[in-house]
Amino acid sequence: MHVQRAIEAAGLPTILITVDPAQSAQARPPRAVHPTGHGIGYPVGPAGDKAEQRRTLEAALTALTDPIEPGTIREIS
Amino acid sequence: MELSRRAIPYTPFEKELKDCTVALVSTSGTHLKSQEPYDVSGDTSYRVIPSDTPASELMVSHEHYDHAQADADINAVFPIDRLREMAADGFIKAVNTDFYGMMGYTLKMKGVLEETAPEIARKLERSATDIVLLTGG
Repeated sequence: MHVQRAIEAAGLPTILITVDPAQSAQARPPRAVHPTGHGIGYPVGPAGDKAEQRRTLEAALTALTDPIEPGTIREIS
Repeated sequence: MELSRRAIPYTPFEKELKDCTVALVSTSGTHLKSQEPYDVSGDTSYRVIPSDTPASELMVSHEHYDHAQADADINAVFPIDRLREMAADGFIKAVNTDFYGMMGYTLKMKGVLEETAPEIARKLERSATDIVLLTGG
């Protein structure tokens, strides 16, 4: 997404949580994770499922600490 | 400076998560109930969402995805409660004072590229933010 690229270009590390990796890949995101099992409308986790939402956020932020090739989308589960 | 679409901007991450202030930027169509809703036919504008906003004061205006989950629990797309909890228990240092919402659907991509995206980036760059987490719908 353009906003992510602009933020990264301004010097801040970013991480995108996407549930549409095919579409997100076209936008060439600097860093992205795809939580498999989550669908459109609940990228962070299902409504009310605090534990799953927390797990997704921890996995997404932790992905920042493990450098990957820019532009790739990592699957997290 | 304008980057080629082929080039991928990349800033190394060199801190520890526990020392980081995190900002949230979401194209899920989230905004305060007291703010003007997005124009669901296409909207390049954004809303500043203070990170201490109660979840009950947030809503989604978007017609291009099923936001029933977010209607029931905004954290499904805009994890404001979860990030505050992570700051409270030390997984991260803090949440930034401001989060940002946009609709992420527009036929006027030029407006996003030339105005909205650089403006949000500039505000974040001048804030205490170390990491920006982005979510869609």
